[in-house]
Amino acid sequence: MIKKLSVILFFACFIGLIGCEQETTVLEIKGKEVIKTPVEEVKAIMPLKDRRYVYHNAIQVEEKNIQSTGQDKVPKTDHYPTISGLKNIEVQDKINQRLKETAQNLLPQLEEELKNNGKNDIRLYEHKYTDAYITYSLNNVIFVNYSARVQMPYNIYNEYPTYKWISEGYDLNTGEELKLSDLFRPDMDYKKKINNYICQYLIENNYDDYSRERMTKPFQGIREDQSFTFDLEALRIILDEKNDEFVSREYSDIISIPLEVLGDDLYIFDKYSEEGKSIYQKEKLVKKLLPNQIEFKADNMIEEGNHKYYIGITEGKFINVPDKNIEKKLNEMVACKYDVQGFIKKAEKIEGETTNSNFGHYINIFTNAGGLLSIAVSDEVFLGSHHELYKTSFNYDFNSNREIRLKDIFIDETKASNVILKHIKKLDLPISEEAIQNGLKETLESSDFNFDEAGIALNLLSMGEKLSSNQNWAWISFEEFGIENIRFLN
Amino acid sequence: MKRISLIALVTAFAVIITSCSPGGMNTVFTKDTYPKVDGSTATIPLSENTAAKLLSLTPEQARVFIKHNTTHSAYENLISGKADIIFVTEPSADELDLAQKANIELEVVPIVKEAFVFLVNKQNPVDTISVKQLQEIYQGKIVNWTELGGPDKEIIPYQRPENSGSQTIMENIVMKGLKIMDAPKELKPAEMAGLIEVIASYDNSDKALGYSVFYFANSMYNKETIKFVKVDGVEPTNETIKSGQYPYTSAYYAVIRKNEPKDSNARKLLAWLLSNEGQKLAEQSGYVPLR
Repeated sequence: MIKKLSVILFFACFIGLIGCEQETTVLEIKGKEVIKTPVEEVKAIMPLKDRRYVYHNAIQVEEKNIQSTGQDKVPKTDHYPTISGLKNIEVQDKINQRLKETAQNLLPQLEEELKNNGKNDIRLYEHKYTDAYITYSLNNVIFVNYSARVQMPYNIYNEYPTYKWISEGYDLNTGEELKLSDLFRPDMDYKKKINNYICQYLIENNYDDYSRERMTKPFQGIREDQSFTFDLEALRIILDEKNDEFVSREYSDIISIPLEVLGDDLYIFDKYSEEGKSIYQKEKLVKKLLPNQIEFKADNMIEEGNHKYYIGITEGKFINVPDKNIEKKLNEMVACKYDVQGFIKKAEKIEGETTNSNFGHYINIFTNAGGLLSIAVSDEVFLGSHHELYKTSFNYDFNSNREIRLKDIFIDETKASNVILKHIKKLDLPISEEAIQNGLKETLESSDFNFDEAGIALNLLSMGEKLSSNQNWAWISFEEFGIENIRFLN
Repeated sequence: MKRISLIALVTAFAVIITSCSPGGMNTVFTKDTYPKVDGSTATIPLSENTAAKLLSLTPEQARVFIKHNTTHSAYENLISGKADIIFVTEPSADELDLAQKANIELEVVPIVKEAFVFLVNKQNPVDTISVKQLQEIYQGKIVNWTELGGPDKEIIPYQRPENSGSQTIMENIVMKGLKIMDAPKELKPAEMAGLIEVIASYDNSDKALGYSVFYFANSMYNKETIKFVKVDGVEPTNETIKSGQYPYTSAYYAVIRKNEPKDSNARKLLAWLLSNEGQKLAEQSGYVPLR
């Protein structure tokens, strides 16, 4: 044993000395034989809670739509994407070939399944479809959903499955398909983690109650070739024909495991990409913000009304806010302070059987990602012909711990200002250019706006008092500003 | 009630006769003579494996050959003559009523055992709870784990949705007519909009107590985080359920029309299931055999 250990130690030192070699190996001594097994080198993994963003892949996607009629005389529509923009054209071609073939091969598989059901009759086919969509395209990985469908007359449509879908993920560095294990640190037992989550899910959703008739036998654990897909919200385990303990339905069941459950065991964001190293023809990458830990938990929802009025109120609390003062401020903001009883009395006094009186207290979360938060709380009142909207916005950057003003959104403030001016002028509102310009100066310094990853919602009230309630907000897309001018996306 | 007692006697007799018979029975079926089978989802593996064994089918062929239409539909099919034998849980009042209206008497024969089990987090030091304590917990009389020798933490006794199979068993065989406390509730997003209050699901926290049926819960894949509680010191296992030592046992049943002729294929299949060979196959299929 000691001899064996010495040999291993010797080799370990040797590996240390040649550590600059590309591949790490484990050496095992079996008799006189030395077995050399390459070990995957694990890159540094950023903890999920610290990760604020990933990068959109700089690929262009073109959708192909091909109509045809086969020998069976049944019309067929094939839809699949092709990608461009990778530096490595060989890999790009490999992926495009795969996208086309996988989409087209799914239909014969579905037809075979229909045939095995003993019920398929090709004369009943009205149309055949294949579809493929890229559902995720970040940090040098794409996931694609493929589906095939046979359209039959409605009266027999429900009798047996006529639809099949799968999902596949690809590494844009090599074009290789991802396995479930590729999503996780190689040193962790991902199957155990997933199986435990699924067991809990099955109990929570009463799958283990025989009267639900959803399972034929106990959960057998995920399979070696378990079907899955992935996005920024969850790892989604697709229960298909391989998971035969679940009663099969036309659409495969999906069990979604939220990213925060998988936490720091996730390797997919680090494994295929390296900061500063681009595999794209376009060097500049755009950020995709990752969800914050902050959550809004609705704990009171009132929806009531009669022939005189309607009330809709949502209240709740923000949790997991990193700053207690901000948490307090947010929770004060979202509470409904409007005199609802006063509104009801006024509404009831309005003559007539039916009125348009309604009151709504809404919380709108524009952004809750990348350490940024943008919310709006609105009280909207329609009392007969009278309309009022009270809207409060709040924008905060937890990365720098300060409130976000509109000008903070842009790298080039002047350029942004011109875009806003041009946009508002195009709206043809009853306000002068001078009023817009003066209002704009104030707006750029204020926090009275909201934003998401696609654009900004601007309050125009500071630009003109003549605006009616449906004219006082403007939505401007970041495309108009140029994505390169948006600070938090670059 | 009288009818069920009679059936139980018939069953006991059938079991004795069968258990006295040699391990294998010379039951030969063809696809044409195999009785029309139906049943619940939970008995599909038993049904498929039986058909595979008796008709020499591959698992895939058995899957195509056997179709179960869920419990209630299976009872309807048996009563209307579309099925000759069904593998199900015991008939509900509705199903007995349906049979009575059709002037059909049902013969209900247990073919495998089942048990009702209580779940706690594996870290919970409480291993055993008595029948009486379980009743008192679910009546709201015992509220803290210290009263069961555990930590000073509130007990959250989760329940199942009303009218679900597990909740019915809970009410009938555990509470035995005692009033069960209100279930913990939680707010969940409604399908259309807003929030609705629903019965909270067992969350496996260190305060939680829940329940399930043995067949589905036994593996819980590998029970990394959940454990079964011993009831009156008896752990639910194949052995204690089989022997009846574990207090909360039930069964999956074969149900036939009582007027089935003695030499009918449905009766032949039932007899085979109760034979040693049939019971061995049931155990291999993941069920608890009768003996």
